[in-house]
Amino acid sequence: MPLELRPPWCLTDDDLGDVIKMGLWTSPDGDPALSRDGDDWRPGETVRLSRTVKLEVDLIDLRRRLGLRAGAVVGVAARWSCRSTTTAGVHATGPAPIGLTANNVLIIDVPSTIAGSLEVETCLIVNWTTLDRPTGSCPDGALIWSDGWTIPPRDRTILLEGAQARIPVRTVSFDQYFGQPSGALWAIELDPSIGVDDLLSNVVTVLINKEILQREFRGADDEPDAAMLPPSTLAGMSVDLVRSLTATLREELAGDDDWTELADGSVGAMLVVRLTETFGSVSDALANFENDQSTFSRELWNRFAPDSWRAR
Amino acid sequence: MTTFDPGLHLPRATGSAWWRPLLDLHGRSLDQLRNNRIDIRHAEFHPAGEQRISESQLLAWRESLNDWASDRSFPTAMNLEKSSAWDVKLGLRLLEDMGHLPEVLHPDVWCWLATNLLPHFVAYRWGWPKPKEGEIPSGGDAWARFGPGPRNGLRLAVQRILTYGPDIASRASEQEFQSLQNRPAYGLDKRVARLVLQTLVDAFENPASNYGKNGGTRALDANDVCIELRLINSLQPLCFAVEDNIVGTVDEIIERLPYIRKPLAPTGLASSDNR
Repeated sequence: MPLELRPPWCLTDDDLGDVIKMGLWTSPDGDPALSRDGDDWRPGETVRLSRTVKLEVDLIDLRRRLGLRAGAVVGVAARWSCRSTTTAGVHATGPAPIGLTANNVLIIDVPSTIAGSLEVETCLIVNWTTLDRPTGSCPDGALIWSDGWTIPPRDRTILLEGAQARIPVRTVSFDQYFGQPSGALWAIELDPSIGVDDLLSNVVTVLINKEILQREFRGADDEPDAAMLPPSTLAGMSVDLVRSLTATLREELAGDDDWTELADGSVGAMLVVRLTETFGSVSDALANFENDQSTFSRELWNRFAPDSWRAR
Repeated sequence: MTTFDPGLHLPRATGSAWWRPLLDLHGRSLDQLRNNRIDIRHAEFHPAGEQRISESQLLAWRESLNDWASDRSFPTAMNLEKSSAWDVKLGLRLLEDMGHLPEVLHPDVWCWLATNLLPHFVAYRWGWPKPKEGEIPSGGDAWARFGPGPRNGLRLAVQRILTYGPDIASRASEQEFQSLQNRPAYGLDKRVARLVLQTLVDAFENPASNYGKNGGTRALDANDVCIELRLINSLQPLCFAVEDNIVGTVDEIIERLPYIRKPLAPTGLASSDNR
């Protein structure tokens, strides 16, 4: 909605100026919620978001600075919507806005049935404590400011599920899973009947050894945490995965050179991209694999090497 | 009723070519479709979903749904009123079976179910897309009743029960549903949508109300009320209003309906909704 079409009681970001300061939307762990990349959330998880709203002046000064008439009370509110599941809602104590005090925290509790992404919007709403409103003043429940007026939806959207293909990662006890204790940190598990048009997420799993995770990679709560794995480990998993897939699918890959029909998210689509960007073409990659395994491995490491080999 | 483990994850249809398998199904009889072959290996699952539904579980579920549908006149042809009633029954049944699953609202799950497991229910309710110049239509828009969007036929049935509850859903008309669903600015909020629809169906049953009476029709009045609400919502968000205020706002619009209604076009149809 262009600014000039809004009623005169609507405020701009400049009007709020140093009167009201708002923090970022954060997750319970304190991380900025808008920086999520779609890797952490899983279906069935609720999402809690919070945002601090600090009033830098007293309520009388607030009314004066925002040009509000006597009897008008300004409150802060938030609404969220999830287009992909056609659901929406408001802040936790809603629907009524939260009356502004010196320090306020907006909380949004999103139900576990959402998916995809979540758009959030913070609003200032005016309610009247009197039925006798002055002529020309805003109506009861009027929206006088929204961050949606200046911040585009993409910059207010929290990504829960990315659109990119993702490979399942499972933490299992190698002792129980493979029947013998192991010092290995990971293993790549492939479905033996894998084909290039299979979906990656259905036929490939990266298994992480629970015993090693428990021993060496614990998070702040002292629980095993795969997020503590260093970049060099992730690079090794990528090299291992591409090697394993190339070895399994090399005959199928050698028999064709038209990859345009491969569906997004398929094993073939991912492998063709990785081999082409590493070796220039699939045929060159296969030639390396057949004739010079050491070069094949070295080139993969060149491609997947982390920015730093040091542990974080 | 089928009981699924609450941790179960469901297959998803992803990508822009989800509609392609339907080209082969177009025009097949409902009897042929009710046992359509499925291939779960080419369905995507959420990567964190360790417990995946199996092909045999899906087939057993479909068989149970087919039996249920046969007891409710499937595949006898339906008129508009019966179609709406079918949606309510189907929505209730699907929710009974799936309501506790984490992906019950996931658009890609409904897309997979509609294109693979239950295309006969969608074709029964909404029919096949009409051929264009003798060709079966291609592209997601033509197949929207099977797709990941909110027009998916199965998803619509579930969403109506989830949003409005079976009591209001069974009293509302198709046009009333659509008038709200087409206004996501306030229609996505379950509390608001339910209050608006409740007020509309109450008004229709109230002989003293203007709604659907006194020169108006239920379908066009629903559209007019929802357009007015959209305008009000942009200045006074309904999602932050208490119950009485929302009901009062709808009632006030209904009172003004005689002044809001547009004259009927010569064909008897209202002019477009693009106001």
